Amino acid sequence: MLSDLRFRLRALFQRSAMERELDAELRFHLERETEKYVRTGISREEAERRARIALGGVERIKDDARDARGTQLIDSLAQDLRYAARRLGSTPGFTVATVLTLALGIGANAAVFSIVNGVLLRPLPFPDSERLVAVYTRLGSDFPYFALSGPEFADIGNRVNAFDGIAGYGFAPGTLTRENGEAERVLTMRVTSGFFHVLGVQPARGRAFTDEEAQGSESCLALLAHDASGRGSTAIGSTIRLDDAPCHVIGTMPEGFAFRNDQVKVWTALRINGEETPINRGSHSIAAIARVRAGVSAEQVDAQLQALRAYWSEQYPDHHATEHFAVTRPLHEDFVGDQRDALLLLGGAVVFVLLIVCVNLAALLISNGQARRREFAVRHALGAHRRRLIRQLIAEAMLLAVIGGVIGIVLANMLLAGLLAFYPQRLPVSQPITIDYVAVLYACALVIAAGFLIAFVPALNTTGGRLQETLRADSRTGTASRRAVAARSVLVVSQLALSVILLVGAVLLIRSYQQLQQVDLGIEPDHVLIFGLFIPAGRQPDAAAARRTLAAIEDRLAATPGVVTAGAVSSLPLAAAGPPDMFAIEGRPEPPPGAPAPGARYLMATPRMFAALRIPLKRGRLFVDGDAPGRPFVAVINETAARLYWPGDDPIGRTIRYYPQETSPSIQIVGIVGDVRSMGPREPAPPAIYVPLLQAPRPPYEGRTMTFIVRAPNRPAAVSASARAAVASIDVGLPLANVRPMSEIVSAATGQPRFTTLVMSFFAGVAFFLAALGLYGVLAYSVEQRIREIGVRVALGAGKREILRLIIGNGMGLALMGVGVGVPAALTLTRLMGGTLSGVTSTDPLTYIAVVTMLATSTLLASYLPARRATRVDPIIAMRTE
Amino acid sequence: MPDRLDLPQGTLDLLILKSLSLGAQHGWAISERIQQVSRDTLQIPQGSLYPALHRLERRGLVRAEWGASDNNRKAKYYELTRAGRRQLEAETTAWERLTAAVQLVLRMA
Repeated sequence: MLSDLRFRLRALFQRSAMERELDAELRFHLERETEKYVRTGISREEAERRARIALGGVERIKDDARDARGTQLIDSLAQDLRYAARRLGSTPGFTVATVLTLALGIGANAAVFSIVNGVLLRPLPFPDSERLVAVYTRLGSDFPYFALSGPEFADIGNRVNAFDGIAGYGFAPGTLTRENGEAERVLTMRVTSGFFHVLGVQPARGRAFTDEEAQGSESCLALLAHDASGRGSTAIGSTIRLDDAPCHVIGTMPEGFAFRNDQVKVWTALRINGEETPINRGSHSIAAIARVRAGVSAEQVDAQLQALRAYWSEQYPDHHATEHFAVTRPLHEDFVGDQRDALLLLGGAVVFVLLIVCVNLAALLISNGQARRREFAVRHALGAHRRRLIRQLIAEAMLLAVIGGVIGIVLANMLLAGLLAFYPQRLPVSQPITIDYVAVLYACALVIAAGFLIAFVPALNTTGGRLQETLRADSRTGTASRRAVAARSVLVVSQLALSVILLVGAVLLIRSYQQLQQVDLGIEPDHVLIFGLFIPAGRQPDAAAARRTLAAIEDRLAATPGVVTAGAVSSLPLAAAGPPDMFAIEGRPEPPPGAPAPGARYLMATPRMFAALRIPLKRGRLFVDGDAPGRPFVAVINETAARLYWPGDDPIGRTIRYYPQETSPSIQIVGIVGDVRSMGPREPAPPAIYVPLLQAPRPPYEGRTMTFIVRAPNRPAAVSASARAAVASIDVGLPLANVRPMSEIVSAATGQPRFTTLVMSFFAGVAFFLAALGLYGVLAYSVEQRIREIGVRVALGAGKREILRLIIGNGMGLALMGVGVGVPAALTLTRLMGGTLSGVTSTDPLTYIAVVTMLATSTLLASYLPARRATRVDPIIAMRTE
Repeated sequence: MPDRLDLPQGTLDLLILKSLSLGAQHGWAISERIQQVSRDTLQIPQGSLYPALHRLERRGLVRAEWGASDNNRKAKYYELTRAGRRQLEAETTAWERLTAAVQLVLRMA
C-alpha cells in the first residue's frame, strides 16, 4: 500500500516528468520494432509503418497509462475547479451576489458559534476544572439549590472523602484605601482558607492565608488582584485599609485570575461558624465549591452524599427531614447554566438561516442550470458520464461556498464584535471570545456542507431527465422546464417551512418578553434616580451617628425642590441578591421538622422609602418618625413572608427575634407591604423584612451603606445635580456611588431575554424575507415557463381574474405546503425552547395564527407581481414563444 | 502460421512477471520475449504492455530504473521486486490448478 501511495504522489506532483518518461519509452519501443523489420530487409519507411501498427495508437496508450497511474480523480477535479472558476468569473454579478449572501450566512454562524463555544463549551480556566462542583443544600423542590449552613459545611468537609477540599465564598462591596491615601470602591471576596487550593490556583506572589489565620479573629489578611497591586504602590507586607479596618497584604493573585466576577480586587478570609447549634444549622448563608478527588467517579460522590444524607436524617431528624440533603452541580453549569438555553437557541436559529440561504442559492442554480442543459447534453453525447457532470456542478457550488466562507470568516469578526457589544451578561475579560481556530474549523465544515447542499438538487435537475433530447432540433423545453419548476417548488416549500419554524420561535420569544415586561415588579421604577452612599468608620466611628447622617441626607433630599420624595434602603431590589437571615417567631416552637427556619431578606429602610419606590402598604402601618432609637423595635414584612410564616394567621402584632435570641431585641411586626420581585421578573418575590434604619436592631448590620432612591420627574442629570448638592450640604466630600436611573437597573434585569428576542427576531426576519424572495422567484419563473399555456387559456376565454387565481393559487398552494411541513416541525422543535420562555407555552395558538397570517400576507404580496405579469400575456405573442 | 490467440484478461500481468523473473528487461524486450517464447501464438497488443507495467509498478510488484540498452541508448528497465516474485509464484500456482481442473472437466465428456 505504501508503494501505491508513493507512486500516486509521484504521479501527482511529477506529472510532466512521468509523461516525458513514457514518451521516451514509447519512442524507444518504436525504434527497436522498426530495427526488427529493417533487419528482415523491409525498407525503413515500411518498417516504421509496421512498427507503428504493431504498437497501436500512441495517444491511446498514453491515456491508458495515465489511467493506470491512479491520479485520474484528482486530475479531473482540478480540471473541474479551473472550469468552475472560469464560469464564475464570466458572470460577475451573480457570483458577487451569491458569494456575499453566503459570506453573511457563514460569518453569522461563525460569530454565534464563537459565543456558544466561549460561554458554554470552553472549560473554566482552572486546572482540571471538570472536577470542580458547586455544593448546595436542597430544601425540598421549592429551594433546589440553597446555600449551606456552617455545620453543614463542616460536616461535608469532614465526612465526604470524595472531595479534595471544600471552600466557601461570598462577595461584598468595600472601600479600599491604599498606603498613599487613595481610596476607591471595590468589589471584595471573602473566602475560606481552602478556596485557592480547591480551584488549583496559587497566589502569584506571596501566600494565601492558612486555616488558623482564617478562623482566628485577629488582624485582617488580604490578597490583592494583579492590577490592584501593580503600579508599585502596594507591596506585600504593606497595610491597606479595607472599610477603614487595617489589613496586611500577604500576596497578590496572578494576572487574569477571576472567579465568577472579574472585578474583584481584594480577597480576605471568611470565617465559618461551624458551631453545632440548631439555629446555626438552620442558617443557610454559605456559597460553596468543592473539588472532586482525582480518580473518584461521579457515582462514588453520589454514594457518599447519600451516606451523608442518611447520617443527617439520623443525627438531626428535626432539621434534616427527607427532602433536605446536600447536592452538587458542575461548576461550569453553575456559572453559565442560565445562558445555555438562549445561546443554543440562537445557535440553532442561525444555522437555519444559513440553510435558507443555501436553498435560495440552489434555486438560482436550478434556473441557471436550465440554460446550460444544451452544454451538458453535448458533453454527455461526447462520452461524459452523468456523474462527471454532476461533479462539475458540485465543484462550482463548492467554489462559491469556499470563497463565501473565506469572506465570511473575515466578516465574522465584525459580527462578533457587534453581538458582544450587546451581550447582556458580563463575560470574563481574561478569556476573551474571538474567532479562534475552532470557529474557523466550524466555518469550514459549514462551507463543505453548504457546497453540497447548494449543488445537490440543481445537479440532479440539470443533468437529469432526458438530456439528449435537448439536442434535438425540434426539442420543446416543456418537460425540462417543468422539472425545473417542480424542483424549485420543492425548494421553496422547504424554505417556507424553515422560516415558519424561525418565525414561530421569534414570535414566541416576543410574546414571552412582552409578558415579562408586564410582570408587576412591585415597585414603580420610572422617574427614579439611584445612588449609593457609604460612611466608613474612619469618617464616623459611631455607627448610630452615621445612620443619623444618612437619615438627615434623606430628609434634605426629600425637601429638595423638584423632588417628589426620597428614601433609602440597605439593599436595592434587582441590584443585589443576598441570602435570607433566619429569625425565630416568638411564642412558637422551633421550626417543625422539614420546614426551613423562617428566614427573610433583612432590609433597613427609611420611612419614606416605600413611597419613593411606591411599594404599597397592604395592612397595618409603615414606619413613622416615632420609630426611633430607644422606642420599641418595629418591622414591616412583605406579603410573601406573611403567607409563608403566618399561614392563616395575622402577623401584625406578633414579635420575632433574631439569633442569638437571648441578646436580640424583640421586634414587633406593624405592617404588611406588597411583594417586590427583587430577583427579577422571572423569579417569585422572596420573603422580606424591613426595619427602620435608625433603629438598626441587629448590631452587625450597621447601616453605613445605603442606597438612595430619589423620585423626581426631571431629567436624571438635573436630579443628580440636586442630589449631589443635597448630600454636600450635610456632609461635604461624601462621594456618591453609582448614580443611575432605576429604569436602567430594571432594564438590565431583562437583558438576557431581550437580547435573545432581538437576535432571534432578526434571524427570523431575514429568513422570512429570503423565503418570500424565493417564492416570488419560483412563481416568476413558473410564469415564464408557462407563457404558452397561459396564452392558450386566454385565447380560450379565460378572464383576468381566472389567471390571477391560477398564479396566486399556485403561490398559496406552495405556502400551504410550507405551513403543512413547518407547523408540525415548529411544534416539535419549540418544545425545546421551554427554558427561554416565560408566561407563554410553546404551543401558544395566538403565535401560530400570527405566523400563518404573516405567511399568507407575504404570499399574496409575492404572488402579486408574477400574477399581474401573467394577466398581461398577449395570447398571440405567447403562442409564438418558444 | 496458426491464428494468434487473444490473451485472456488479467493474464498479461502474469506473463510480464514471468518474463521479468529471468532478469530485468525493458518494455520492448518483454514484448519480444513473450512473443518468441509462446512461439508467436500469443497476440498481445503491444500498447497494452505499458499501462500494465505502470500498474505493476504502482502495486509495488516491479521496480523501474533508467539504464543503457545494448546499443547504448537510454531505456527504462523493469525488474521484479520481492513482492513481485511472491505474486508470480502465487499466480502461477493458481493458474496451473485452474487449467488442470478445466482439463479434467473437458476430458469428462
